[in-house]
Amino acid sequence: MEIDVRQFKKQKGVYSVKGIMGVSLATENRLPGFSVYGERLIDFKGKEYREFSHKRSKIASSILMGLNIDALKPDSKVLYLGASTGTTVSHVSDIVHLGLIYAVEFAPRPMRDLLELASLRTNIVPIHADARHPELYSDVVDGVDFVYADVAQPNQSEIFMENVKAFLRPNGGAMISIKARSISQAKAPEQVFKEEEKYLEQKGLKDLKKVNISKYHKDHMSIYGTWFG
Amino acid sequence: MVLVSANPYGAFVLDIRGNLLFSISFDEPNYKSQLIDSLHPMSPEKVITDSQRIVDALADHFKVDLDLGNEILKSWRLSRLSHLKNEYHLQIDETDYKQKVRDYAIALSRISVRQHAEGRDTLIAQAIHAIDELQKSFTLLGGRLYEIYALHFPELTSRIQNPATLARIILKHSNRESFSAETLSTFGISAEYVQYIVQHKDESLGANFSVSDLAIIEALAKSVYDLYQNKMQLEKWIETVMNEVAPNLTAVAGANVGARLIAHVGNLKSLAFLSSGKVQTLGAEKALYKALRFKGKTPKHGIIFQIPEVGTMPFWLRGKMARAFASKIVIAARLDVYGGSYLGPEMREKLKEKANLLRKQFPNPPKEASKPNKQSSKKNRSKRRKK
Repeated sequence: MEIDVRQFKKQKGVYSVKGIMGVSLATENRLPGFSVYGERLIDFKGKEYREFSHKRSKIASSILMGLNIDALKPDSKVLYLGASTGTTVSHVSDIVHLGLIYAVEFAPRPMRDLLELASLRTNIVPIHADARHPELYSDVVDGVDFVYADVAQPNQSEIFMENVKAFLRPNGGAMISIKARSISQAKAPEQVFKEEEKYLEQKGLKDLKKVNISKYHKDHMSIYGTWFG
Repeated sequence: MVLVSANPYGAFVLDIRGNLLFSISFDEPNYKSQLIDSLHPMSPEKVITDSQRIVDALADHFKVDLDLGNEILKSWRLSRLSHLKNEYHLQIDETDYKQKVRDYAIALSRISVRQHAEGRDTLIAQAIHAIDELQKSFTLLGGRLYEIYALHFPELTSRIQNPATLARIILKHSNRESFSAETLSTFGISAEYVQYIVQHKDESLGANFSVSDLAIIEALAKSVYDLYQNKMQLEKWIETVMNEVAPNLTAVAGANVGARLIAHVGNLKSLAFLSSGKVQTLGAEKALYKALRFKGKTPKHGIIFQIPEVGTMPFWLRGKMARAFASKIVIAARLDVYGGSYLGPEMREKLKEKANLLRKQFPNPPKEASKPNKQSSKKNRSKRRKK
């Protein structure tokens, strides 16, 4: 089968790939020749693309399951909480190649890998701090268009909303990947999702769009909303 | 009242209407004292800021409020570049600004990552993992050494328990014909066994090996022995470092268990911040979460079980003992983190007394709770799940 790479639905900077086993999404490689974490590189019509695996990345699986992240555009500024070693961050950095991505991570070990990634990609700003305390990096981060949180903490929604309030510009988008199992071991995931959604609504996040990604990430759900300040 | 906004270009002091009064660059080596000196003549009754960095610099000299919701500071934060251009008259464009932000953040992150790596407790955590992996490899390769050497001299291998001893003997003389009673007795083997081994060396069930065959076995024996020695070295090293880093914790829980607890949570400080209930079940997460999900019985102990006083208790007292140890461990860890006095040995003594007391007080198992029967508890669990 012939390889075909096309823009994926309305999501700018994300491409759908046909013709390669197991690959469905990709981003354009802004650092051609380099594979960040061993992902496949795809050459198509003179451009190089990097496999954006929905099995590894919660953003990729959310997009694949039909979520359109309006705020993720080539010139967006992004605040990414829970950046870890930067596998997904590297793809976001591909997508927002004209913008900037502030990547916050607290654990020192993954931070080392993230620093290395940031030294290669000029639109990543690595921040070694606890996302629970936005005041620790309020001197670095300024207004952003998109906040994404992937922090597996019991109070992840609270952490997320604090950062939204502190850094998201009005009309910006915000997305959180909720891990039901880190909020409660005892409650059913569906119930946890419902409660978290209610919390986000209460705190002023509007137009919530939910997408259940349990198919690829066990007991996870992504919620995307807009912030009007 | 003044407002202080922090950004990669420095600390920006604003009046209550948001007009820029002055600024001090963070690149200045003594920006803290400069900031304090310039603020003093204004004698502000309160300083409002949105950054921890400013709080750290000023908290000793002024009344500082941390307020991320302040409208003026928020407007500076959300559109920093335009404020810097309009009010600070900075001649830069978007690219320069991004570059500056990035350099600033990378410099700060590098410092704090390095600081973390310098902590001795993270080294302990790695060493504990190394010990476990060495032990695993040692057992595995040691077993293989037994099997191989048994082909040559089964009468020797059947009389020796420890792979490390076997490895040392093989390194001394690999060919069974060269064994003698004198050399064998230096390895701490009982006289009876030595006699047995020497007797059988000429009429062994094993095959005769050539020199090149034996050389391979010797090489394997060397690896096994090295693993063993490496492990012993690490254990000794952990003992000394634990006494240095966490003397109280070491006294209460022992170097090995203490190090394991630290390794489990990552560093000493996080351990000190845990509740004792959490410490009690550290290492038993699987059982704990299973119990919480299916409303079963929560585990009594995790890593703490390896403390002799806890592990050797009769089963109906282990929970009590584990609870007592967990609470003292947390206190000891907090003493170590905040440089408190050396109370560890005292606490350990008290815990030992408590162990004796408990044994006297409850010599018999409680009537209704006989030793848990595995089968029945499994049945119960499946019933609960169905509900």
